[in-house]
Amino acid sequence: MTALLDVEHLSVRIPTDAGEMVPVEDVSVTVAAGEIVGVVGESGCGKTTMLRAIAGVPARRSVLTGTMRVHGVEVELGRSAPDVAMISQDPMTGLNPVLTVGEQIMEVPRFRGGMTKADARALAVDLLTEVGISDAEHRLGYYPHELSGGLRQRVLIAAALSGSPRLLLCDEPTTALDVTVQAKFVRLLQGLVEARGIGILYVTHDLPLLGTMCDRINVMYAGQVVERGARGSVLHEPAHPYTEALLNAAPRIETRVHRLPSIAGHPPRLLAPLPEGCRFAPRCSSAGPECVTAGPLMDGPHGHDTSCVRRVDVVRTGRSAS
Amino acid sequence: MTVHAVPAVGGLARGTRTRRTLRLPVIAFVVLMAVIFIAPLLLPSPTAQNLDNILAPPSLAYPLGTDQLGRDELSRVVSGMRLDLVVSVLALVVPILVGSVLGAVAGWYSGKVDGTVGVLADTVQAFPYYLFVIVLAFFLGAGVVSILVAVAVVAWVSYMRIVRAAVQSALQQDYVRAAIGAGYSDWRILWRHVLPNVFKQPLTYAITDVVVVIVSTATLSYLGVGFAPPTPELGAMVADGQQFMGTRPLLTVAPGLAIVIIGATLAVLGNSIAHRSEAS
Repeated sequence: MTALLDVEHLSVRIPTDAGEMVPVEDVSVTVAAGEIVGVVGESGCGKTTMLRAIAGVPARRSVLTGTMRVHGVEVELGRSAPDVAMISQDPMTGLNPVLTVGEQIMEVPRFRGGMTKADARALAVDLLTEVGISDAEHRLGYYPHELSGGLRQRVLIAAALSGSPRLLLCDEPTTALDVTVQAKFVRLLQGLVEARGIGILYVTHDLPLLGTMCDRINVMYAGQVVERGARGSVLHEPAHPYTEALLNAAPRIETRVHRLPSIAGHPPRLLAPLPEGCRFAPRCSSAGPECVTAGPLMDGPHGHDTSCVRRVDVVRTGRSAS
Repeated sequence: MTVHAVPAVGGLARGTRTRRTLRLPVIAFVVLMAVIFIAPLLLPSPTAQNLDNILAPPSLAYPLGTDQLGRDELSRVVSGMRLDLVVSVLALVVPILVGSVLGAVAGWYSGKVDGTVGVLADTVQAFPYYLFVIVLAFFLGAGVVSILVAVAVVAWVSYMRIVRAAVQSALQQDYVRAAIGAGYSDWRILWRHVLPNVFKQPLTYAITDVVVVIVSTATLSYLGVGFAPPTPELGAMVADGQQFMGTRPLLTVAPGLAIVIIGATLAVLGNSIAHRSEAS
């Protein structure tokens, strides 16, 4: 079966005054229809840059390499692909303040799809209802500033769905929302995946959140995917010390700790040329001499891959990593 | 934009405060406009001479007295205000359009286009304005055309810079990214998603910029490069009245004060509007 989205060896290079930046290096991601795939990593690890490259809105002056296929059809990198829509991080800046909600949802159907105004309007009402906004007909005339953050985020989804995309790219869409609204939002996305059979690529720094919604998880560090696999195996048998550290840094309701462990040190600056070997090694408590030569992702069983040379055997023999 | 996130109570307080600061400037502006545009219809002609009644002191018939040709000074001052205001507003139309278009282009296409426009703007700004206008007047001859051309050549720079910066920051907004991602044409994104969020800033600036143009119109006429007598123009009237400074100081002071009144009213109005639009 061809995947909905198949990105292979995506690298993003940006020339700067200080030298060439490589915020994304050799990242491969696939999303199947009906699947939610998560990408997790801390700020500056390149996850948003990667998502924007896939969405066709790469950073200015950036150079993209790699291949991208949607439904098995190759798409030019850095160009907007049909069937792909993105939901941005911030519902405040995601909507144009001088256009009404209706105008923004109707824009794609009318001007890309050639729909009549009446049809587009009917579609907008349906979409707003689908994303759980009551009194949709009336809300079409609202301006973004008249809506709450949660409602605005729903409007963003409706606008993203207006071109009936097969793939939804989400860039931390819940960061600006209350936790209770977050939960509703996640349920809404899951409902959309079920009802429409779309695929979602969901980028966030919130690993526990991904645990509640994703089928598969990619862990990114310093521009590379360092571990990927099914949700359960990544969360319960992390095969990379970085994933483990992220999990340990998240508070849990079952256990009481006085101080959450943090990861010592800082991620490397992503200026070329980056050193060989594992980029997490300088911060890793279990790093050894072999980490200096560590390569890219190594295949593990059941699609659970890791780039950690010290852990790959653990995954392969199926023993618990902790 | 973050203002909308503040609790209702804070938002309300902010709202009433800005409304109060805007009310007075707007009232002053409306009154001034009413005086400038209605009074000339009621007063005697500003160019009607009465050589039997020259340099008269203020009286009921002539509240500001008469000038050396027996013309009603009040009528001349009010007509002068109207002339300077109208000329200055019209003079700004071309530079606002040209500057905004160049700014939008420079902000949208960074790189070479931006660099070229920037160099052009720097060159214009590096020129001493009045020297430039006086040289221009030599070629075009003194008169309103010189003023219009001079303002057009110089004033677009500010609008270019304002719009350029605004467009650049708009390009960082997610809704513009979304429009790019949706595959719309550059023109459509610029026209529908960028410019409507940008146009307020040059227009707000224009309100205070009118003051600059009024002062330069008056200055040029004072120097004999702009409007010439008998046209009732404030700068020319100040120049005219100077010779009677000792006996009839009002002939100099009144047109001078008129410039100050228009300038202050517009400057305060422009500032309050700018503050308000920043707050929202």
